[in-house]
Amino acid sequence: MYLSKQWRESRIISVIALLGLALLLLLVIKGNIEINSHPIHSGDHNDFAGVFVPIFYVEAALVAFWGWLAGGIGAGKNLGEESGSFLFTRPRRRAWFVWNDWGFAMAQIAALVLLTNLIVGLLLARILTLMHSPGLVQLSRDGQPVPLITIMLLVSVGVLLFAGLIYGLTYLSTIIMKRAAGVMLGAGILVTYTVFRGIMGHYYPTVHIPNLILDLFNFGERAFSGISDHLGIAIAARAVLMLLFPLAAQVLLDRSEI
Amino acid sequence: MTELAIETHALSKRYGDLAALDRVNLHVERGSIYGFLGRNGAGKTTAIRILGGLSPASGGNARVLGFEAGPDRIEILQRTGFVIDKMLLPYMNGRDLLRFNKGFFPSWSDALAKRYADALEIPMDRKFKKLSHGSKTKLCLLMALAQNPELLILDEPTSGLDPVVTDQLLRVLVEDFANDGRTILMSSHHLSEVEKVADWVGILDQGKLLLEARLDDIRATYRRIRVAGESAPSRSPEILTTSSSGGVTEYVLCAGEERFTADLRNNGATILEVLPMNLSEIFLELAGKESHVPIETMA
Repeated sequence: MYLSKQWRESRIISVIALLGLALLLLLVIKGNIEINSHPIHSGDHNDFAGVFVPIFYVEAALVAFWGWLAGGIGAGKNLGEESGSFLFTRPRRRAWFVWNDWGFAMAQIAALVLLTNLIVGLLLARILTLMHSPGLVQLSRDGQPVPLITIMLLVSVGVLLFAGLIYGLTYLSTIIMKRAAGVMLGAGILVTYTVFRGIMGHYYPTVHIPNLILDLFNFGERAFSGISDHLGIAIAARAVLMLLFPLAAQVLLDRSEI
Repeated sequence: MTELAIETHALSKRYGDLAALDRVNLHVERGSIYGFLGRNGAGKTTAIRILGGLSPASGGNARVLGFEAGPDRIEILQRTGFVIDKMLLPYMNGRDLLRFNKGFFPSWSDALAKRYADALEIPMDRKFKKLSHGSKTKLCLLMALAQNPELLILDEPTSGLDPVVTDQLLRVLVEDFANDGRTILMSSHHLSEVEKVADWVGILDQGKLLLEARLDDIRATYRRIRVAGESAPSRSPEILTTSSSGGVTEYVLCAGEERFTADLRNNGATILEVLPMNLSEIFLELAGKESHVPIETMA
């Protein structure tokens, strides 16, 4: 029932996102493989982080863009279309609508991320096999090799958390604005935070303003040196932050006049 | 089980300084068709939104089918069909909307949905946003009826409809729904339509309930009395309004016509006329001057 509504509302952007993501990621991989093709011949494969970083950021940006668009779909959009009185006179709690919207969007984000990373992982696994390093990735010259599956899972979690955060932010914004145009409020908040972080980083480098996106790799001495420290805490903090937005949307919707 | 389908006690709603509802006491009997009348902005939709749990009351309380509006909104929504904004999901066609709605209501009837779709001649394959205003309203009503509810609460269901569609809707409501002993609360400012179908009316103006009565009682007991002479009776609870012009005093009474006229005669006044009143006349007396009322309400 409700699933049919959610699918009807999001199917176009989902299909476009899936196609776009597949195409762009293949291009990114192809480009990076060509640039970094020397490890295959020389055996010097210590800069594999250079492959994952663009994959991670391109994927995160695209899936987050999907999350931003999808955040404009759901209860907030219905309020703007004046179908809110219809929707919210169905015998369900308002929280039910919020968490159904959120769950469906997160399931789609997860499907997008996992499918993409499965393709990427399979391609990279093939390259690693050719390099006589099956399933293990050397992120730096001196570091220990890391299993490919670990990195792909970290990339997936990072993208999922970032896209989930953006989705939650725009979803909450549409509930605040009571119309789909709330996505612009979400974008505004995002841009403001990014600019603020940039300014603070420039003028007050000692003050740490957290990045919205996970820093998966350590970057030192002009090269990636491995997986970031305290990644578990960073993931947990972003997961909590991601859940705060639908929770706030639920509280707000519960108190809203429809 | 309470005999009242809807009961409100001192129901109030404020938006800042504006009292959209001011201590309203509604009593809608089970099995009745209740015409909830008032001018635009009188507070009808606000009251309906409170009953549906879409808006919280600022004061007082409301019970629908024995459940408290607000805290028990799920129980109320399971048993009540609401048609408020006449807007469904715009990109879905009628069939998709039926499938969507069906999952929410265990009492849903596909047979009823098909019957009403045929009877009301709704193009079910067309997207909601592409339907005419009349078909949109009919589809909203169909969705509420196919829920098989105990109670229908309709906000201005005939607003903007042509007479044919209006007649179709009213026939379905009265012949199919209300004849099964179920209850309808229908807000409107189209008095002639309400007069045709309702057995109770409540008149709301500026957030206040000015009148709540059985329509038959209104026809039987409400009178307009024109009197010449200076000896007007003392104030009485039966007098709804009083106005004087050119030595003639006009009273609108809600009851006690015989005793009232006898008192007037005893006081030396001359009774010029005693006239029965219809719903439109009473509405105009209570809810404002004629110039303030849309032409269609005077039909």
